[in-house]
Amino acid sequence: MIYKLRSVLISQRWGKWLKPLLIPIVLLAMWQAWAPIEGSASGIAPTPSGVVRGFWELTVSGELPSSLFESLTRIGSGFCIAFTIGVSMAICVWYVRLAEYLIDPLIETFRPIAPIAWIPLAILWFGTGTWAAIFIVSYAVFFPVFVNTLAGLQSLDKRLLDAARTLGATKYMMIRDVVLPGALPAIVLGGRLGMGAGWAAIIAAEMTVGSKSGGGASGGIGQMMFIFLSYSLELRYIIVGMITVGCVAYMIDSVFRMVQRRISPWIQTS
Amino acid sequence: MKLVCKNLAMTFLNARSGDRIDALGPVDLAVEAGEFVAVVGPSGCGKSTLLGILAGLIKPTQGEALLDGKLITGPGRDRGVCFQDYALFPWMSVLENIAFGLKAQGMGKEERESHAKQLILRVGLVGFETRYPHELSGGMRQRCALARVLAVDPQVLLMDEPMAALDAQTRQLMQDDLLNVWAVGEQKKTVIYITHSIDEAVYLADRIIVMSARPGLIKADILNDFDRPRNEIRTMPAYAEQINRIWSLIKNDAIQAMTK
Amino acid sequence: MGLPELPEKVKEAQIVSHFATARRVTVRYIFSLGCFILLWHLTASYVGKPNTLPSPGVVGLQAIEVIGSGELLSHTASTLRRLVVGFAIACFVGIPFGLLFGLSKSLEAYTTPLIEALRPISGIAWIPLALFVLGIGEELPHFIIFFGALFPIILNSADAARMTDVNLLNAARTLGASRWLIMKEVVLPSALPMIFVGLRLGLGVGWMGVIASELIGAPSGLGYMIEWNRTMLMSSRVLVGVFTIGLIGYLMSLLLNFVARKSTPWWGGWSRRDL
Repeated sequence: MIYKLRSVLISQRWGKWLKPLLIPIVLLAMWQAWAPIEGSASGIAPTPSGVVRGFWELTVSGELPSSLFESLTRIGSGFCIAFTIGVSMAICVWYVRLAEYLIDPLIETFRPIAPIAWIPLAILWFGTGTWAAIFIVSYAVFFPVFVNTLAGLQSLDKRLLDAARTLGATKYMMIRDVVLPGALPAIVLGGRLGMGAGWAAIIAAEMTVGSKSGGGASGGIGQMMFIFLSYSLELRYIIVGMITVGCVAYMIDSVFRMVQRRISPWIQTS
Repeated sequence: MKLVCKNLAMTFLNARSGDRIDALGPVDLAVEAGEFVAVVGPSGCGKSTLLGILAGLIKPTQGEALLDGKLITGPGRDRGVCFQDYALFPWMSVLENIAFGLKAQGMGKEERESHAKQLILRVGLVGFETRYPHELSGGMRQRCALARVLAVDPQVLLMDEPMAALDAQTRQLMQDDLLNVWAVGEQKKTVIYITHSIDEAVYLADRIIVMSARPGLIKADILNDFDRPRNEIRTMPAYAEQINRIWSLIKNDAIQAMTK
Repeated sequence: MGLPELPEKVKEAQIVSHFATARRVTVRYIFSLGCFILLWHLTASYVGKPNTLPSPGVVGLQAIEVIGSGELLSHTASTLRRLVVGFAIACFVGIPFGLLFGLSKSLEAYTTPLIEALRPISGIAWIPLALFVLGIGEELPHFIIFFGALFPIILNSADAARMTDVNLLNAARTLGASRWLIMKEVVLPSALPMIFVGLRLGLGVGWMGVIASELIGAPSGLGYMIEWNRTMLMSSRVLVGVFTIGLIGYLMSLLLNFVARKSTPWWGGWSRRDL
């Protein structure tokens, strides 16, 4: 029967569609079949159908949308703060040599320290609320944005700057029409990587807060997942949370990639 | 005298290793208004450095360069530069690239776009106004770069091997285009044209400066006053003789440069 | 042609030229960090809450205490042990699979959707589920590290295999090499630099993963240490832990880079800033 399946896959035109779906379908089927067997013993094993139901239930009850909204607001604010600071500092470091000497070593010292490591301190300083989360997100977003913006500025073709000067461009025009557009692809890349890092950081931060303070003010997706773990043992809700985290990460990345493509059609995006 | 170089020299200093490179000079040069001067020489003879100094992008370590008697201290609209790889702004369309210099002068959008369109007509890029540089062929980019420089109407044109990246056939056509554009107008522009190609120099220029290997000194200053228009001179024996004369001046230096 | 002329005040130019030579890079670092520590000290004195923002001096003293008592070492060892195990498994699974994935179009067609679906779910998001299934113990960090590091390793190995120069492959085939020999002598060496890039990324993710899992559910390790000290309001020790985390991460990258450079001496692509 396997050979028949294989020949179908290779020969038929719709076999092409079936190929990528084959393994996921098989796995899902196995999971669905396995769960009741396992579940009858412990009674709490999640099934794919249970997860789908979970999505529905959480959306209807409003918990999923509100947590999601909370997390997204936090990452949005953190991103805006860190992006502004990161780009400005990169321009500063690029333009003023002394700034490079002062700031670069600091950046290189703090960059290896993962944002997660700052969570306890952030909680100590800002409490278990939104500001701690925004702090962690900003920290996470800052470094990719800064590093990539600086790299973009440094790799600007010097001849383009020369050409602009020989055409009589004013300093203001140089920055607005030559430097920024030239560095823009790198800046967008930095934004994309920063958002990726920021999203992972916010989930981690929320989870840590959730595991400590347990309950309290609505704390985003991360905390939601932990509350379900600690209080209700509804595993399928946890899985719903995980899938949501993955989907949002994917969507954020896609949006940035789209922006990348539109801004710099002359560059290939990986 | 339009352009004067007095005792001009350039030494590059490598901050890290402490090496000194005597790239150019000392050089004395005088160019009249409306002259088309070609500069040829072996690799590394400082031709691009000379152009950079005249453009105001490099500060010489010795001597001075003067335009109309005034010291050249920085880049400006009066000396237009055509770079070797065109240096077109990739994020601007052809029209926007050409209009850039006019925008720098504060010209309004409609006015500079109509100006730019006139130049597009002049260099033969009609229909490509909204295209981006990466969509253009080499010859078209060359024309766009030329149009961009002409838009600001400089008195002097400094060209650094502008045709080097073009294939031989396009190059011949572009050379004629360049001469046509240069010859038009009440006042012919002064042109300093750097090239590796001796036959290109002989085809285009009124006067050919031959430079020696590093440190770049002026080895010879040769008059090249064939009649214009020059479409037919490639078949004349005098053309080949001139090329040979210049090549014999450069040959030894070129061999040295290759084996160094 | 020349560089853009930037306006610099004379005094600044003097300071700049003083720092210009390469040998002075370490001096620059010391100067910059020194300024930072000074600023830190001033801020801490101004704020005056030693439990929230300890001064650098206090942090230094605590660091010495913690190192001397062996506490720091034991925590670091626990964390590193977990990292090594999880990362090693990720390598053993990820590199071969990644190479095959890059070379075989059919394998790619079958497994891409699965990989693309699981990849965006960061390793950290697995913690609640894994915590339930595995409980608090050594398996939790192992799993999180494994899962986090797996994807960069697989994807980079796949890219590396895919980008093997076709000319080299053809040359090997015309010289009569078997498929196995080609894999071993051509594909693998040529893929090594990029595999190492994947390892570097995976190590970074894995490092974050182990700290995160320790923060949430582990009885030892650096993550546990900083969290425990936070509950004790010993923020100076928290900072010691934080800086240790950064330092160890940095040293590991250095080590990995060193190994990478030594095993691919023919590749000219390594730069000083490959960290």
